[in-house]
Amino acid sequence: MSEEKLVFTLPEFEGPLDLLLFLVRKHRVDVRQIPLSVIADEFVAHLEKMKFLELEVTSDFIIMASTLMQMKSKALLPRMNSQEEQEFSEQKQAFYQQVEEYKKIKDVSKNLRHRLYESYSRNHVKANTLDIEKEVEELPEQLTDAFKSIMKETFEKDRVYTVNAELYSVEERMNELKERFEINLIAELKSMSGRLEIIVTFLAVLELVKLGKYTLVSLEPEPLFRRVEN
Amino acid sequence: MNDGNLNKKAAVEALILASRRGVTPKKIAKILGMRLNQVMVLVDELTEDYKSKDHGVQLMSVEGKLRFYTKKDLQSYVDRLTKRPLVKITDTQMEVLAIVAVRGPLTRVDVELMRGKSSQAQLAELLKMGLVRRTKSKLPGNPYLYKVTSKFYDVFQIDDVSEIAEKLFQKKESEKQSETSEVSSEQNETVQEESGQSD
Repeated sequence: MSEEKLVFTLPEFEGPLDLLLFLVRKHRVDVRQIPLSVIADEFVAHLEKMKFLELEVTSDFIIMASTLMQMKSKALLPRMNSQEEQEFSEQKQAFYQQVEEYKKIKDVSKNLRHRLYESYSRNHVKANTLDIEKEVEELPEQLTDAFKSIMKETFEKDRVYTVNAELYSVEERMNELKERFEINLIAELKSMSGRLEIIVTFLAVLELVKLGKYTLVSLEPEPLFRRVEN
Repeated sequence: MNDGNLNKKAAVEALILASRRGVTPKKIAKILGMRLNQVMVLVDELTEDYKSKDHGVQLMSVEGKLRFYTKKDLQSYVDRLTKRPLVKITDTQMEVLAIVAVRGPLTRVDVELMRGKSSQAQLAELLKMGLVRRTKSKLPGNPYLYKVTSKFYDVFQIDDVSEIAEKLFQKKESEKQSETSEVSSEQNETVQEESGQSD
């Protein structure tokens, strides 16, 4: 009997901003309408409650509390000059914006949860579910464009220089490329001297991707391939 | 003339259904040799056609790709034939995902500034789930930039992020209007909560 204890519970908060939103919501008005000192006092009071209930008060809460107290004290002191005045109002603005932004994110997050829930009431329908069919694969436009523009450039080069007959093999080029962690397609192709070499290099890169040794990590600003670590 | 249009509409329908992951209006225009706005007219017509009670599927656009989906009211039947595995996302993960979706591409530090809290674990988990991906940026120190993937759009069936964020701007405005008195802002809040649940 004497072992029984009265248990208090507090809502759990993700972080200081979450707690702030909770406190603001209790006022049922916009954040900007609540005096800073009121928010600061309530925040600190809540932290005391958390300590009393032996809840862990993490450093992010402490930082927010000190920022709030600092702003509160600044608000109480007479301002020295207009520069300080300005700095303080900027700090206040930044604080309000952060709270408002966080509120927005909370709302988006709620929307997403709802969308996810709703998405389960709709299934994607498609006609070709048979294995014998295959989607026509297309290379991303940026890739083919890169290849085309380089080909055009070297066309000019080819007309001026005599290219010594030199044979390149895709396999050799693949082995050379495999040394590299990353391949920047445009830079790579630009450094080539002839059309044949460019074609071989392009094929070698595609072959490496097909074998799963490299993967296309980005198309912007230039196509970039990266080695797949096993 | 009318006949020609009907045939093109049938072709649009066929292309959408035959595509594995949906098809963009731009690609349809390219394949059929039509102008984009002509295709859009046909797409709108198809969308309307399928709203009829006689159809069990509806036309939707997800990440700009046109797809057919079964209708909501029939899900109890469809579920017995095919089911999609549940995606489990915690509230904190959802919060981080919301930031990346609306404000991305952005760095981990940006995310943490907005949340006032470390978000590394959530980002790592979202990466693993394939809902978020990252690329190296050219900013000092080459931090990773995070943004949502196509899978994110597929899973949430979202055409464009403005869908989930635009509602907020409307809300913001209604908040501003009611700021003048406390009572009306209270009413507004309850309305918001309802609308958040029903749509």
